[in-house]
Amino acid sequence: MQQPYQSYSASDFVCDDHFLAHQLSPTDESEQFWHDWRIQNPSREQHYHQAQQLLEAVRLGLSDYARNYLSEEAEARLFDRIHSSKSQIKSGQPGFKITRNPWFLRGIAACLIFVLALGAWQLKDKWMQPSLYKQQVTNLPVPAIEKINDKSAPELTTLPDGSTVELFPGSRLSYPTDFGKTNRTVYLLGKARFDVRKNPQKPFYVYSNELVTKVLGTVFSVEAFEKDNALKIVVEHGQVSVYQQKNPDTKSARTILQGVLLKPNQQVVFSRESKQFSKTVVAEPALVDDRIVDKNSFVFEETPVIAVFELLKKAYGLDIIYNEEILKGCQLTASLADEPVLKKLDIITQSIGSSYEMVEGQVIIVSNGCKSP
Amino acid sequence: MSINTSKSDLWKAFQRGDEEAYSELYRTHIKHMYRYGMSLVPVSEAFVLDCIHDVFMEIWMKRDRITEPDNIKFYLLKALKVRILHLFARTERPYESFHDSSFNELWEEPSTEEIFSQQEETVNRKEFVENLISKLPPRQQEAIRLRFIEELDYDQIGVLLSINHQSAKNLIFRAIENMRGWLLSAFVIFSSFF
Repeated sequence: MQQPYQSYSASDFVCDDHFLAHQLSPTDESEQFWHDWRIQNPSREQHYHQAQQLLEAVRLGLSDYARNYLSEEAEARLFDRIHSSKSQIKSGQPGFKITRNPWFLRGIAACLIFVLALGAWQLKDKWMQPSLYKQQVTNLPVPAIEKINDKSAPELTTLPDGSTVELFPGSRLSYPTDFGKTNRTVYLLGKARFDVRKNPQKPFYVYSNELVTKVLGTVFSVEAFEKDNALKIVVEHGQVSVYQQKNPDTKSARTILQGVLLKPNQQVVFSRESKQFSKTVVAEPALVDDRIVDKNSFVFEETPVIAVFELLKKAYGLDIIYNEEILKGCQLTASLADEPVLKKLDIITQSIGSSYEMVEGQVIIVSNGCKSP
Repeated sequence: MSINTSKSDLWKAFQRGDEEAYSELYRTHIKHMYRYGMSLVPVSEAFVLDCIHDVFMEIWMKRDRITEPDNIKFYLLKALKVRILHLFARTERPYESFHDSSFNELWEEPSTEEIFSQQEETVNRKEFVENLISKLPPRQQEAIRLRFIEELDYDQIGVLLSINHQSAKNLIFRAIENMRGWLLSAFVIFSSFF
């Protein structure tokens, strides 16, 4: 241990083998050595002490790396997989007794070639044509952080900008380590519900298979599993635009093809086969304007039906289309409260002798008008 | 000494085809391989697991031809990195930050103001130093993980990063000096470190 320790700085100590070994796993011998050395060199004490704290800080900063373990089940699963591939290979390997029959040998050779070719083909399939998600994430210029939910319940993640993501089972989400620096972009495979912090300067983008969803600040969910033919986006609050990517390899805005604008309680389903969007109202539209949750809001007494529709439009963020001229004479007396909005629409339209249709995420009131009372 | 002997015994038993020794090798090293692999390819756990699978298959098939490594952990980490790089090369989408040393120059050093604002944002000491480490160039990060967590020596780190002993030492020294400078400036402002 003849080192010029007398001239060592804190960083020199941290990089020294003996110093590190002593800090991480001291022995009686190293204890003695460093004890004596510190007594003999009191002038270096400050550097030695700083080195200890520096090392501790570095190891603290690496503790997430150090604790990044597989669960025991996942470890066991991987070992089972290794074990089963091992036993398959074993029977295909030369090393067991070979019979003299040349045809038998040729058979083995043919089988081996077939197995190898199959293996190579599968590998090719796996690595040459990775999913869009994998492609996008691996092509990022900076490393990405990936969250995987392999549990049976949804998991909540908070992104660096304070937005939250509820990641559903079997789904994965990636975002670059510089998330939020220039823009906010995440990549999704599977299903997630986003609650995005409002920031008009930095739009929030979700890339999911062929689709890009762009929002400023809102609550919505995206469902895009690898195996599914349909991709679905549902909006709870705010506005969302959904685009199809022309070339999924690039994320430049120029490649954007066609898209739809979604308002609250609307959803869009994109068919990967036909490349068509279909926009609809969600099955159970929820209230979007909390100021209208007052119980008496939906109690009507000889209220013009136009006012009723306007109230529903505001409360549920729905697009309700009607002909003002025709409905002018219609009035409604009804007490509505907890029923879902579509049920409310049923009651209202029936009581004025009309009906409604849902087209492209809009509610269209079909009516011949009311007789004047 | 006895630890080394038992490790050597374990390796010899594995080379004779002892299944128990093989599972013991797996159990002892899977955690290190997993976290190192994930630090190289954080985007895909499945990919890393496939590579670990391949490494264990490979050493089983070639077990009678492999010379006994001085350090089994280092041997397996190296095999894993080789496997990962090999598969990346095959896909013709080379993972650039692995090789491209000019990439490091793009990494700008945070200013004192940035450290200042970061200190305000981060709630605890651990998060603060984690943030500083994430500001280091990727190769410096990899080197300090190997040095201070995997406890490899400079020669071994050099092999994994394709550089010599001295360059490995310089790389780690630079990382430590960076950290020391940042921590000191945080200290000047907040008196919370050192």
